Amino acid sequence: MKKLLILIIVGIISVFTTFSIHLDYPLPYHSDEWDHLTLVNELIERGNVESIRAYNPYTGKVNNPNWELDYHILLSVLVNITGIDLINFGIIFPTIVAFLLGLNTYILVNYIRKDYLEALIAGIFVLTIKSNVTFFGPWFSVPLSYGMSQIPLILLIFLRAIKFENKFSFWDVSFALVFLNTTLSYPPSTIILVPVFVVYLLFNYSLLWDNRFKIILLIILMIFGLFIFIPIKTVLDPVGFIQLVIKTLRFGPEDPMGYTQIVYYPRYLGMLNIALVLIGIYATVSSKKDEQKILPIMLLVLLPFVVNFYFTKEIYFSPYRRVFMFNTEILLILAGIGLASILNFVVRITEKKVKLYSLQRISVQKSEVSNFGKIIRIISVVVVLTIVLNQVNSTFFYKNKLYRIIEKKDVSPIKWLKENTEQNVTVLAMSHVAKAITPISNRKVVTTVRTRLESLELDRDEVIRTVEYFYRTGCDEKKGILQRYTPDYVFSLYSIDCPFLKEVYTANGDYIYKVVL
Amino acid sequence: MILEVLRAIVGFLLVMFIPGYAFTFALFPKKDEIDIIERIALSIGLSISTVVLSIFVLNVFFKIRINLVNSLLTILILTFIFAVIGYYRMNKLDTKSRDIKKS
Repeated sequence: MKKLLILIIVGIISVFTTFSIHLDYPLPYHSDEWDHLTLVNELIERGNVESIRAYNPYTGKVNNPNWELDYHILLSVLVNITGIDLINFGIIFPTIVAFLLGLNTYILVNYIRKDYLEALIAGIFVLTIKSNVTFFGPWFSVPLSYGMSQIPLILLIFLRAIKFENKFSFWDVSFALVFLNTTLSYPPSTIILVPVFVVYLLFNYSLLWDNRFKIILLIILMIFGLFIFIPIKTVLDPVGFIQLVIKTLRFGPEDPMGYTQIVYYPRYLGMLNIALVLIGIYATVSSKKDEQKILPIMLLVLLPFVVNFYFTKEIYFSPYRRVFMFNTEILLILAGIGLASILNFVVRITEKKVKLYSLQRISVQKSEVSNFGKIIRIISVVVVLTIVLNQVNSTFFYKNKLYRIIEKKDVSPIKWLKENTEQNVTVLAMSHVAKAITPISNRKVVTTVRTRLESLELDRDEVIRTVEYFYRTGCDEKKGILQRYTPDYVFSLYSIDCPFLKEVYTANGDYIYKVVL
Repeated sequence: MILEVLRAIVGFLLVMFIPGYAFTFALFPKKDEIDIIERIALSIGLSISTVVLSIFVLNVFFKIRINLVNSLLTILILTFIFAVIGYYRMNKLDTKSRDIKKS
């Protein structure tokens, strides 16, 4: 019963913190979400992984390599089997991923702390990660959210597997499968765990020796794995190989203009959470069980990377925004442990042992709580509940800063395109609206705003500027732009009166024109 | 509408839970070996991993298309294999514990 209740609580909070943002807007928010749905749509249409390996379904041109293939396969299989419409699926899936995040956190903390209350509060706290459009987070249907949800599970399986030392255990099989699949779904979420595992084993050097055969096997497998991605010639040249590794694992500012939004943890999490994190760190570090130290060790390993980025604008293993979110996840787990530790501490100090009777050296005791102790306990529970509820409510801090790619009313004209045009037509639309055209209507567009999927052509920014200019200029220049990019239809959010644009659809301020040059 | 909701629920369970749940019994046949919530979480993680990796391998190396029928078949075959191994290992454990009791 207690366990069922835990699952229900985690489920309800996942729905509240994640799904509730869609109650007044039943479409994906982030442009990257639309990008992933477009790739999933392409995979469903073609049924072949090759079709999305380095392909931009918006424009039909070559794109950067796709490193998140398993995430797209998972979504396409789920859409195929559940029969849910792709766009509706895009708003349901983040809630399922959030539930996994809470559940996996619960089992990790319950395993290392052996306390279900600490595990539950940590599971609730981690669901309150503040999502925003720059850093992503559980609100969005993106691979980062999935990767974050798998981190606690991977940590748990790792801790279980190394306990068996050099003996083979089925935890090794579980570790290999989950680690590999998460790597192929979102590589940064597992790559950052490699230094964490190394440092954890160095801190517990006896484990390093006890697991030597497994570690050697893992290194051999990784070296073999390298040959799949890197030509043998490069691997055999040590200098070139090291340069390539450093180049691959070094990240700078992600924005092409060199701009990076710097956010500091005290401001992002709040000072109360930072104080709770410190208590959580104390509680885990002061424990005699080494397993508990994996969480502070993860911070010890990853925080310096973030701090280094603040000063040098360079970071290793994973891009800054991703490492920031992985750290946030661990910080909130520790904050949850910290808060529950306070409650446990109050319970402990308000409890006094009363000796019932003693026979020789053996005494039988009973725990008792004084009236004053009971009042203290009630106050503590109220304070803890207030903090938890306030924390859950703080999840929506950035909700009013979410932007919308399209409005609800724009879905009908896009569906009209799907039902009334040939499949091989191209549509010219404003670069942000275009993000929603391909996944809903399965039609190509001239260009889209630059996000996860972008054209690799050198003139890509010029194309975006020209398309935006199309909507501001007169008929003569419009004609020139249409002749240059040869779209079959024009999607507009206001009326256009030009002789070569024949109106074929209009409703609620949306217009579709057929190009007749 | 009810059928659509049912299909969605069954679909999510088929991809994200059932194969992994069977797999956990193949890997950890003792019921008290892991806590029930841990088994559920592990089932979801293993289910996603085995289903997605199998479909990935079948598509990349054997050119089997990713569609409804092939995905369903893959999931059913995986679940059947895991369930058989799990059943065999659980039976073996029962026999062992009976032998210990007898002796």
